[in-house]
Amino acid sequence: MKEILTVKDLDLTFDTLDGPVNVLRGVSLSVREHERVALVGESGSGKSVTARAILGLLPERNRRLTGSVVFEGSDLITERPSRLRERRGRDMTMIFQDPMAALNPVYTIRNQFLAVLSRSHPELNAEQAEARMNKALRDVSIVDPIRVLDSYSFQLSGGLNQRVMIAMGLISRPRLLIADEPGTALDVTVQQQTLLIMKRLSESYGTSILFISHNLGVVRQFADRVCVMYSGRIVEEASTAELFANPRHPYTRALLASVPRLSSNELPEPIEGSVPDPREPMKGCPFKPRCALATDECLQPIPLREFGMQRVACIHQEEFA
Amino acid sequence: MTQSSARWRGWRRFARNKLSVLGAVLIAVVFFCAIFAPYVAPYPEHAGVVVNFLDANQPPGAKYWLGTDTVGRDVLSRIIFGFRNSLMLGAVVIAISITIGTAVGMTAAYLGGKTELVLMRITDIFLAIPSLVLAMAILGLAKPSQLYAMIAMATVWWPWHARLVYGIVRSLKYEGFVVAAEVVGASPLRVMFSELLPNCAPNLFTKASLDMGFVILLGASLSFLGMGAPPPTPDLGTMVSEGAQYLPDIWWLSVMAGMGIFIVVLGFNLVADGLRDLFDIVG
Amino acid sequence: MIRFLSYRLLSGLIVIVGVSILIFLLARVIPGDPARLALGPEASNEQVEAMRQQMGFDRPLVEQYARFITGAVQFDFGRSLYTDQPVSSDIAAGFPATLELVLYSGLSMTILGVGLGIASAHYKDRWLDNAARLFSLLGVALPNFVWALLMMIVLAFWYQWLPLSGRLSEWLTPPPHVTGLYTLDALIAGQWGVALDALLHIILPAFALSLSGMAQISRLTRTNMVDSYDRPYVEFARAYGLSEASVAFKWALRPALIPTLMILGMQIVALLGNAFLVETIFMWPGLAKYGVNAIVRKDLNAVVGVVMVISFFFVLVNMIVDTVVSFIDPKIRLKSS
Repeated sequence: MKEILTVKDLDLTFDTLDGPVNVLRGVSLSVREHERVALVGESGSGKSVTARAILGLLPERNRRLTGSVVFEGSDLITERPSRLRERRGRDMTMIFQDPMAALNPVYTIRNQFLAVLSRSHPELNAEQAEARMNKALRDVSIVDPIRVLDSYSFQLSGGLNQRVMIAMGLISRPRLLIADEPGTALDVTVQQQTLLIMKRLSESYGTSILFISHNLGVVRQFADRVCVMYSGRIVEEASTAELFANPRHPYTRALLASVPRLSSNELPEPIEGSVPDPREPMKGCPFKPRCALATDECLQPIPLREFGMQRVACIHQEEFA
Repeated sequence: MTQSSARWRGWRRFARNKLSVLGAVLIAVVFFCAIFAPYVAPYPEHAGVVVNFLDANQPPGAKYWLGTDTVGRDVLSRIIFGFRNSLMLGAVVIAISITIGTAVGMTAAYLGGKTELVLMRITDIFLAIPSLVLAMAILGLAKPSQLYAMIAMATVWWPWHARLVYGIVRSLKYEGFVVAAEVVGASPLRVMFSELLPNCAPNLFTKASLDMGFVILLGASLSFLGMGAPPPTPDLGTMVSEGAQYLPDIWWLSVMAGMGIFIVVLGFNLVADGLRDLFDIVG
Repeated sequence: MIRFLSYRLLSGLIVIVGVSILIFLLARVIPGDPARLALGPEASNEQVEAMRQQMGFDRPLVEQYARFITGAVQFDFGRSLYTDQPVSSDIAAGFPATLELVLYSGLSMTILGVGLGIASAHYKDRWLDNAARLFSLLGVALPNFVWALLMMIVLAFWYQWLPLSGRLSEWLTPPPHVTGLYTLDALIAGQWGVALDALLHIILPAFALSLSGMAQISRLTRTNMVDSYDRPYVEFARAYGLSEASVAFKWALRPALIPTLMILGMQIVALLGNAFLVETIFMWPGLAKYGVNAIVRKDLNAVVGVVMVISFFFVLVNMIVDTVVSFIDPKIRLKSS
């Protein structure tokens, strides 16, 4: 399957008042057509920043970004900002973690939807636009689209807002949808519904999804492939089935062990230690301080090694072969 | 983070903010002038009745650094004494205003019911008249004098403090520590004094420093309009208005006095901004 | 909505009545002996007593108040001790001048203040922002009468670009009265020269009056815009490729404007109070100047009249501002219905 998004060696440093902060240390990942890829990690691992770097939503100043983000053939990093802006909201869209906060409180949903719609379909007149929006909202299982369009975001429930955002995100039939922690702000049951809707629509529109999550349960249900991120680096990448059946990287193993499971009688184990400070320069493997298998060789830069369809950034793989 | 290290962080932040430090320096200078006026001013006797026509209307120069006014008094000395005047005025007005305002606001918020309604309505009524207008009306109806000026300004200012305290106490009324005190049997007065009052203190303090600037401004406006202290008391606002008649030739009187007002108000404003940051970190 | 409005109206009414009581009490309590004041120190005691009776000071307080308030409602504040005209006609004469001044001042404050605030937020921490910050410090700390004098010195004396005082140059006659606003009336009558002259005369006082408010509004707008720029909905707009201009002027601005509007309203209202200083300096023949003169001359009726009228407008404009803000902010509008 063809790759529509290829991120290679993305390195991002912010120049802050406290000094330079290296938040992304050589991130590489890819998304293929019709694929749903999950980017998993704890808070502070850099996953949200990666999404923003891909879309070009980082603040203009005080930052250094190297690497390449190739989307449908062109490198977004080297592209002109105006061209990049054109593609955003059309070929590449994003939905946000907190849907009520992401929608403007002083404009109606209709107003905002129109703004989004005009990005991909500027030629529509008012009636046609209204029809499109209505259909889009019905496609996300909203039964009274007109009422929703007339409302303000604070008048709607979290679930409704989230579905509105999905509708907006998919109306241009983008090649890639980036979803930042979809459903995190919602009730668990509502979250399920929302994810199912996303799954259904992305399949029928042929949209690939890159979604960011810290929720392994969601990832397992929903993703085709998983990239595990730790402290600004991808430490493991595998198909969902492989990852959950046979986690290779010590961090992934620890992560899986820390999730409570209904099916098992064992207690979850938290991971000792804490995420390293991104302000400190780092040599070698970032997980070393918390890893049971760590040796002095782990201070060397660790490459991603391939094991079949899996890729792991750990030199102690023989132990699990 | 412990309380004291948070406070230390706060002070450091205050010190790092160049503007706040500038403000503090300005205020320090003003206070110094005010307290030691007779020693700092080059011609301290010019603060009183002095007629020195020979030297009248001198532009700023070596002998009189900021020039002289129409009767030959040294502008610099009068400004220094004017600082003393302004600070005293400001301090008294704010003290009275805070006292009355806190009493009204706290009582209204804590006791609630009819008391609250009546007291806050009265506050609204005072606030319905523009500050300058009310002060002028009071002063105008009476004889212009320092005392009446202070009374007038305090009358204008207390509603702001009442509102502030009212807001704070209203949100604190149902907090744990207040209820605890009530349950133990503390009288309303005691609750207000020992529980509620300390919580209003940081806000009041910040507001007081900001207020100083504005009260002094109000006072200067009043005296500019001729309602300040009668001559020969050195008053910055009066000096500006005296000089206004002779513009543009004898500009130094108005301009220098105006700058004097500016320094005082600016100093207090900058410090108030810095204090707000400081208390945000601690409180 | 109706309930909301009528509650506001009732509140306002109560406040105005309260103000009238306050003024009334002040006017009775403070001056000592207005009758003697009116007649002067040489008058005999009998004359003072007679004057007292004529002024109605021997009646019980409540009755005096009743007389006062009935008169006030009909816009009758008695006669000015100084001009010997009915106070109400004096006030009516000076009112349009003050209105024109406040109007232009409010416009200047809004347009320049909000504009500067938006620009400061957009170019945050660059030279424009810092310059604006400096300007607002100056605007707030430097008393507006000093500003006015400084501007007078530079613009009217040194450079002679703008006139010094009054509403119109001496050799011109005011345009036919339609609204009382010279600039408007002159335009209506087609007297371009007069209109221009009136405009030139109003620039300096209006700007001087608006300065401190402008400074505060620009700071406030900046703060609210910066806050708005940080919100998720702005990131959303950018993620969907909306242009920076659209983000700045549509997406981020409207939520930022709402809190600003309230304060803007208060500032415009405050102009009424500050007009006193500016009118005095620029010899602007408005209500405020009349008021200042009345106070200096201890013209009791005039003082009371001016304070009542100004307070009335103060309360009125406050109510209007409150209502407008409630309309614009969808949260308030929808929750109250």
